[in-house]
Amino acid sequence: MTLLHAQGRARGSSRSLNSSGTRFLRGWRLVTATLAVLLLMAACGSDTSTDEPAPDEPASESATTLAPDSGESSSGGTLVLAVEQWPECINPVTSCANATWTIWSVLIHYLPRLMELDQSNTYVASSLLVEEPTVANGGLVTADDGTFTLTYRLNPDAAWSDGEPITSTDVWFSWRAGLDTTGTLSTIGLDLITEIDHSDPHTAVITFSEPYAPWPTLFGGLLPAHELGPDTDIADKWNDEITVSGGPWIQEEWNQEQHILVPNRTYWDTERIPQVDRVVMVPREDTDSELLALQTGEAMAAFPQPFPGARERITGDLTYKVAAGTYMEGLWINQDAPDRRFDMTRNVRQAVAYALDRERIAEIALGTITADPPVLQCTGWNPGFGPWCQDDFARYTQDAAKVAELLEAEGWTRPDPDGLWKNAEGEELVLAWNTVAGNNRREDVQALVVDMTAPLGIGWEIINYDPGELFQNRLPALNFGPVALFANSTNPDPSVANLYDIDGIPTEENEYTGQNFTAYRSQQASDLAFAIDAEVDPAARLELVRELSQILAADVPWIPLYMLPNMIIWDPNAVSGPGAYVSSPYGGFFDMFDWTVHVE
Amino acid sequence: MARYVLTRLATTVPILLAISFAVFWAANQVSDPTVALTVNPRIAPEDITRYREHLGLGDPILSRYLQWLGDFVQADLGISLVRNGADVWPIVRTALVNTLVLVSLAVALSLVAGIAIGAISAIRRGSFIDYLATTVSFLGISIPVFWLGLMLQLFFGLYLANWLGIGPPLLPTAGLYSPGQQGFDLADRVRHLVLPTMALSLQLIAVYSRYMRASLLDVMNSDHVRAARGRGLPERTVVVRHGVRNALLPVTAQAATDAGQLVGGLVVTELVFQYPGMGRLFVDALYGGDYPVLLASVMIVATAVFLVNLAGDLSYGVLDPRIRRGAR
Amino acid sequence: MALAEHELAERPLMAAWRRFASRRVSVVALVVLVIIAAAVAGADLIAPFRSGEQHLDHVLAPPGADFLLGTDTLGRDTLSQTLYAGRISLVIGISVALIASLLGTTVGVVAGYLGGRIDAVLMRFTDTLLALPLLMMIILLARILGDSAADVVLVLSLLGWMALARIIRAKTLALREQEFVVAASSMGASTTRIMVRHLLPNLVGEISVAVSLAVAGAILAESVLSFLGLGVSSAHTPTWGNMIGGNEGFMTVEPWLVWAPGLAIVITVLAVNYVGDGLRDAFDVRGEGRS
Repeated sequence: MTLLHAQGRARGSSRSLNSSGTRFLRGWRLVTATLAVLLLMAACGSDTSTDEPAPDEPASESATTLAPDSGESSSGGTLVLAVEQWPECINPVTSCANATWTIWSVLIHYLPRLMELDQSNTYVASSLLVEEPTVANGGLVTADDGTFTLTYRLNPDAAWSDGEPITSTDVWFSWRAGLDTTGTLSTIGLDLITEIDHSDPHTAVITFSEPYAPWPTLFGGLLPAHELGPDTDIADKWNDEITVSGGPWIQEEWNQEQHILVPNRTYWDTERIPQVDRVVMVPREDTDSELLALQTGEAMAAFPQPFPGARERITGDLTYKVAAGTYMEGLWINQDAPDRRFDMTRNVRQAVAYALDRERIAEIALGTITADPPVLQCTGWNPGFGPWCQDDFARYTQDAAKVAELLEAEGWTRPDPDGLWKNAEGEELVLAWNTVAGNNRREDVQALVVDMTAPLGIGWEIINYDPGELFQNRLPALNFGPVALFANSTNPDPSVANLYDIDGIPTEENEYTGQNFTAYRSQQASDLAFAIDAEVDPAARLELVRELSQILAADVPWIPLYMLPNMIIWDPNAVSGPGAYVSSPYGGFFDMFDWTVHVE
Repeated sequence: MARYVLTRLATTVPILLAISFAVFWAANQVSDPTVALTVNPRIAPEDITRYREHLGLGDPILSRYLQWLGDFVQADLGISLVRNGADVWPIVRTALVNTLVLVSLAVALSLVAGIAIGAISAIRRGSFIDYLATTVSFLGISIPVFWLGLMLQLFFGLYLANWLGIGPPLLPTAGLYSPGQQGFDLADRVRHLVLPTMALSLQLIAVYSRYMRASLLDVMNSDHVRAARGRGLPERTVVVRHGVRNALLPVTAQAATDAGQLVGGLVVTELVFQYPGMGRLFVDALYGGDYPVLLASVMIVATAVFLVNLAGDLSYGVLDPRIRRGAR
Repeated sequence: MALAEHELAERPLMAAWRRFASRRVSVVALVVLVIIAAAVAGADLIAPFRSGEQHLDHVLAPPGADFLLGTDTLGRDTLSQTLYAGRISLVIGISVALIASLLGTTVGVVAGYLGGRIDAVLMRFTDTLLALPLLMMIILLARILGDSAADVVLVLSLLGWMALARIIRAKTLALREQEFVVAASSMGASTTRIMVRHLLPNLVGEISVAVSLAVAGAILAESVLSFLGLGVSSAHTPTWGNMIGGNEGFMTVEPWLVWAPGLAIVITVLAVNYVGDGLRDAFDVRGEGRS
């Protein structure tokens, strides 16, 4: 289980490798932690903004009304958490940070952010900032020469746990470390920055070579220049130890067996000074082990990949909360599939969409985890993140007449009314369909859909692969499908350029670079997607998203099914507080500074 | 004897090398540490290319293998691909120690129990006890190890505590030590070893007791035991001094030659109980595409198994000179 | 001469059967096995539902009148699935046993009869493979190959023949010196003929014991591979292994999903082991075969 919804056989669910239930592994470590980097670069909301309680309320009461409080809540005690995927190393800039759990279990608790996601997954200024940069306050300036300047004003009270102030030099250092570190994970966005003026310690003036709307996603994990510098290549630092913190916690110990965090009593954001005396995280690398650890009392809370049967299995003293997560699962249609026996034209794609009862699919895939799981109705945006997800895809409900109409318009016929559609060349409408072998949820969906579309004359040939084969060899080379079932991550920022970039279709000519895995060729959609990235005004951006969403719903480059849920489980007799950040890209443990344990 | 050892070495080393290449090739076929990056929209294709170059994954597979081999023969296990340049040896060493602890415990326990049960079965051949021991040992080899492990976890972790109405589980179900434990605490470590040892041992006890039973029956029918009886020694002395003692070595030797099988149970046991040993390291490295760690774990385990095996064969040889000529 | 050979092979077989039949527990085990084999072979006749038939309104139904052993996440009848899965599991077990035994017998007979350098090379190779951590090798190979039943059979067969090869070779070495083989050889019988007509019939005991143990081993190995997510994909066909692997998480709440295939494995393997034990006694095969 690991996180990786995008891959599949995670050990996740059951001990069997699959997430859904198979035991272990096939992909478990492979996971695509799509979010990971994002998270690192992302930010989350400070409590000074929107939904937080008034400052005079005790922080421990803030986010936690979900669990029935059965014991005395008081400060102190040790919180024990089961962690599903244990990072191999914790360096914040290198590939160590690609594992989502590196963020969730380690970095998010120590590294401060500039912009931060709040509980509703909207970017707001963190407590490290005096205010959020906007066009109105002069924080966001697009110059006539096309350059874009972003000005952050830093909170003068902010300091690292060793007493050194957090300054604009740290911003500059974090930028350079992201670019200069050997084996750096991602330079997206950072490579557009031409200069960071850090002459004033409390003001960081960042100049981009072009307007960059996803700017809040950058600087989600600031690094202490005084501790890690002056060399901006930090590949050899902090691989198994975070020595200085700018967050609520200080690291006491991290190894492959456990991670111990203690409160940062000098944290300037006093509302987030932790209630408990100590947190111990231990690896329980599949959902069965996690659940068992909770049932036996060996751990108090876990943030597992959702597992089938959760509604029934979480019983007794345990309670849990489920909310949409960050991975969107769908049928990805590869228009350049090498083995296709006919073209995946727009009509065929639409016909497939009309052949599916997506409500039923969501119910079978997720019904044992959450009641009435919602169908995803937009192609690329997360309904849980801001206003971006339009429901344009809702028009696709199962409709045999539409299927027939669309196919007949392109010369398909159905000589045997119980048989498959055939085209003019006599090819039957049978679609090769790949997913990750051993992922029970996905294999259930396949079995369901095969039975579902048979009466409508659409057949499937199921060929599943190991996650390595699918995600490393086949997907990047567009050597799959034409149909594949997997999950892709969504960002709090509505950027979708990577999905629809017409120049990002992997081909032999460009040596298979690019992530337009559907080989969707629409100049209009591609241009719109890039326009979204360059528009820094939120209202104008939303208009562009609306426009693109309609085009996508008509073109059906892929068929969205559902958001994979996140879930957090805890024992309310042992701990109060979990649940507020269950759908956060920061992970369900983000707000554990607010949690309390019941000391007997 | 020396010649036998040399022959074994001469044939084994090339095969181990061939296997190392096969493992290397396989590891590169099925997974690599950059898989996770390909579908991460926050990582540009150029970043992935750069990272692959950084890891040396862009080089031809053969040259990377030769590089690895060159280092390996100089006892340099290389650096992990997924731990940001950490040396492989300390990682493997930790896992190896954990595994050796678990295996020694399980084997020692199983030998004692297996030999006792096997001896009783043989002495009381055809009795109810023999029948029972046979049945249980057949069950032991018929239950998948993972199934047994899961049952033990549920029983000792959950059901027993529930029935007895006690709070914390009787035995910890996973891990090496208790959460938050700092420093070495023998009692805590031992508690965490109980369930994995049980899971690993049941099958071993079953197998060893069968060996012992067969071996003792053999010995009891041998000429020198008959001769001992003929000399009028008490049956008890005959059995213990002439029977059991002579039956032990073949059993131990047979157990040693089974070391390869033991590893199978070990991998599964370590996974079920989240025990950080060689088996789990192997599986993690396999799925993570971390071929330096994968190769190190396979080569070390294979070498260890080979040595134990060789020791087993040699002790057969000591016992029965015919073996040296290969007529087993 | 042909008749004599025939009798040579025949008489021990009859005697062996009598010895086997005198062991009650082995006979019971054999009957159990026959029943299991008949049940899974006749699944089309006796299973309440078709293989893979979905009842979406009865998802995860408990055992009851409609579904004797309950249903799974797609409303598939557990009893029917267990029967159909048994087909594949048994076919895998038997295929692996036959292929591995064929390989092992061939290597053993060739090495033992021809001797010399061929023997040395074959046996060193065999010993080395035998001395490997087999499950690790199986996992690696399974990762490379696909997830069909044929792939699993291939993996397990390729790594399952060595123990038998050693046993067969030892027996062949002994047989080689016996009069009837020496006689046949001196009368100009070809090497192949000697191996097939003279040696093989005398190896029936060893081979049958090995086959039975290999069946048990392969069924267990298939379940372990499924547990690791490397077995036969449930997208192709249910097996006992992937039924456990896929539903393991339901062990505490829908136990029938896991216990049905789990008990099927344990009972089958246990029966096979008892039959193998009976065969061992019946043919007076020395030494413990590895299972």
